[in-house]
Amino acid sequence: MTSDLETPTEALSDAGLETFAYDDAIVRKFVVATVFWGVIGMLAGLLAALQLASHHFNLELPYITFGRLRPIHTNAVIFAFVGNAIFAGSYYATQRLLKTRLFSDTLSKIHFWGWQLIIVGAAVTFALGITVSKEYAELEWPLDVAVAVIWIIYAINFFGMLKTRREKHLYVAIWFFMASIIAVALLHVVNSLAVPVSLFKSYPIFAGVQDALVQWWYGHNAVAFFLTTPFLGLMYYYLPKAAERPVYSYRLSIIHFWSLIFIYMWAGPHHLLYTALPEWAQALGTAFSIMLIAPSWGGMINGLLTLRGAWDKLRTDPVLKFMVAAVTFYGLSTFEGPMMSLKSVNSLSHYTNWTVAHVHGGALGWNGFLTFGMLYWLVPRLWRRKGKAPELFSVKLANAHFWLGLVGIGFYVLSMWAAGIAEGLMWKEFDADGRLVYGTWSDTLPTLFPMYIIRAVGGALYITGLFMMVYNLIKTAKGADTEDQVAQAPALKAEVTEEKGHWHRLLEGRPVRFTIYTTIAVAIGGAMEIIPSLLIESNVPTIASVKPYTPLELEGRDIYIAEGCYNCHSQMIRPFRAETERYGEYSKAGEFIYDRPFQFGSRRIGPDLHRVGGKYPDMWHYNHMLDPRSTSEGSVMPAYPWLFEDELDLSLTATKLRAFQIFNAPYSDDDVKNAEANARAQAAQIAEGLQAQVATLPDIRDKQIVALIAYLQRLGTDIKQAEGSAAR
Amino acid sequence: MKNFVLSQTDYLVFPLIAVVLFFVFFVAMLFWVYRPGSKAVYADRSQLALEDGRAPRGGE
Ligand code: HEC
Repeated sequence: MTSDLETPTEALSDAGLETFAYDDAIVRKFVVATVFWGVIGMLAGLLAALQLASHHFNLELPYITFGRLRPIHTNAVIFAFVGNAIFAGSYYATQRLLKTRLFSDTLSKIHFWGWQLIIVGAAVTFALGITVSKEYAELEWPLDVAVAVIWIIYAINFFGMLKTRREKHLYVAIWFFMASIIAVALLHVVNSLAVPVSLFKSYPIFAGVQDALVQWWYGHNAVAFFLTTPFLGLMYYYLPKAAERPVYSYRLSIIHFWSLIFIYMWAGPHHLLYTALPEWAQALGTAFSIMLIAPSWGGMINGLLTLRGAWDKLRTDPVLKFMVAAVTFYGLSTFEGPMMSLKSVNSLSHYTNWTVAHVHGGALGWNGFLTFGMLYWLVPRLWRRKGKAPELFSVKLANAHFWLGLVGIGFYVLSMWAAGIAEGLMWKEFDADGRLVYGTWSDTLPTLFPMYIIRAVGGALYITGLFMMVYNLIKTAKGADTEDQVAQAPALKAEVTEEKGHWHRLLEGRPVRFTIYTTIAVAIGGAMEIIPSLLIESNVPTIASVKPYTPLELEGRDIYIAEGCYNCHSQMIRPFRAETERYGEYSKAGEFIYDRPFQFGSRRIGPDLHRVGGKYPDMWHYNHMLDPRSTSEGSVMPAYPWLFEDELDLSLTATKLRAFQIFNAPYSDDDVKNAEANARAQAAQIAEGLQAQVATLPDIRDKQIVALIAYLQRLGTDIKQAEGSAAR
Repeated sequence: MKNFVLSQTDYLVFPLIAVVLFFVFFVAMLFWVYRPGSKAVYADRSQLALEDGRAPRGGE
């Protein structure tokens, strides 16, 4: 770490040196936010893990019930923890790489506080059940707009540094940051397109299968351009810094960059294999997912070999330990991911805990560890002691954190792999008579229980390590100096921007062109994937018997969304015997044309619900929603007593139908006008039906549960009716 | 019209076009990064990460 003290004599001898200070204050703010939200987000994750081990941890509290907590957890760790780490890391690195202060102190402050406010807004709205239900894009439209605004401010602040820079060449880390900023903007805008019906409710402009395609194009690329490329930028800066040697191959880093940003966008459909998505899109997703291995491993090798000749440092330096492990996890995850995109593997792994294992290998291993490594390196430099070299409070403690974290990840990933494979196999196991061995969902739960415990233990270990880091960093920062670091560099001569003819200048020295190329590379993949599926109506063959939801069912569907049932239930039966046997006829694209947003789900903690309509009497649902254990022994589903107390709000129903009219749903103007009355009539019918069976039952006609029952009983029945009438 | 043309196409052409496009792109990129004289340029670039951020006069 002594190289920090060296003096660049060459630059000094140059006349016309400019003196300037880096804005380290804002980086410190982002660092604190990273740590703070890391703690919150991971504790939320631990609680969610415990809820799956025992339903008691839902506390019968609507705000933290699993369906609402999971989005809080995922958003907190992705956008709050990782997001703030990206901002801290990229602001620190880019100022230094470009030898300039951040573009605008005001924009920096708006960026910081705006982002933190959005996070708080996200947590509050999710807890209240205000959500779009698209995974990792759950924010309702006002917060979506706020995200777009703050993101543009980040972009201006970042790209502004290119104008004021004193270094003509853009180091490869900056490429990764720039590409991420551009791609995330694109993804966020396209996936958030929606028609609002109130301040807290909107419907996406895409429906059903198309909505699913757009969402997973987004979801996959959020992993790519939020969790991967910005972190590769961080890797290419902080790893050489910590190892005190340049990246192994700069050439390889360029190949890594262009192939990665070009390929990543295409791979989204691998989240929808064997679904009602068109075959060509699935093939595209698989092919490009496999191709992704090459650049990803190129990047991993590049990162690891940066330590060439310095491997001994690994023994003592916790920063390098964390970073090398992080890069290794990057390699593992980017190998596992493409494997899971193979259709045969996916048919087993999809909807299971295997996906959860995969995600956490990446999140805890790659994002978490790289962030920790970066923080252990940054904090002593951001909080300095006068006249002393940057030093961490306790290297020992940091090393202990590393090992604890590693064991935590081990517990987590191994238990979820085991749980995932066990689930996948149980779901498709037939006995000699051709019947499902685990015919009832609850049959599968005891097997998973111990794994959920081990997972929670792993998470707890990881979080213990996190707390050790918090202590270590606070001790490091305490009593330190927080002056902005001052630097000197010659101004950039004007000729640079006018230079022409040199290939490398064309790409590296000209941010505008570079930006355009990057945008094109990113956009091609998105366009090729999405445009055809939006244009071709025949992608979604219409089914005559599929009708829009009744007003009450629509309200019930919105309650389903608000409660986050999709976090545990899929609505997409794949065309396998094991699934049609268990759930009924497989799902067709044409059945989802009125589904805004789609509710395919990504994980089956409970059974698929696409054909649950008519499977049970209303009374079963009544009992089950009030206390799932009363109908299904050992169920981990939370109880929903508040749905039996909270009033059913029909004030927006007419507006909602109006919005669906805009989308060409065949509601007549009369339907819109009578929406509330029709909903009340259907609710009365269900409530009276229940009371006719058990006279002592409370009247639920104006409670939320009645709408939910109406919706559940409708699910997947349109096609059954078609079959029924054809047979008659 | 567009819809008609698209509906007559075998959709598998999309992945095919995509792969070809990437292949062309990739080969072109390889030629470019291995262009003569690039070695020295890249050696120089890779130092950027290390030389930045130093306060010129013992300000550490
Ligand atoms: C923590 C995950 C979880 C959440 C959240 C959850 N469920 Fe469940 N659900 C389950 C499990 C596990 C089962 C299987 C055992 C049982 O029947 O309770 C189940 C079963 C069901 C069934 C019966 C399906 C069948 O075919 O037997 C229905 C209906 C249902 N859930 C509806 C809902 C609704 C509606 C919501 C949201 C308000 C919801 N669930 C939220 C886990 C969950």
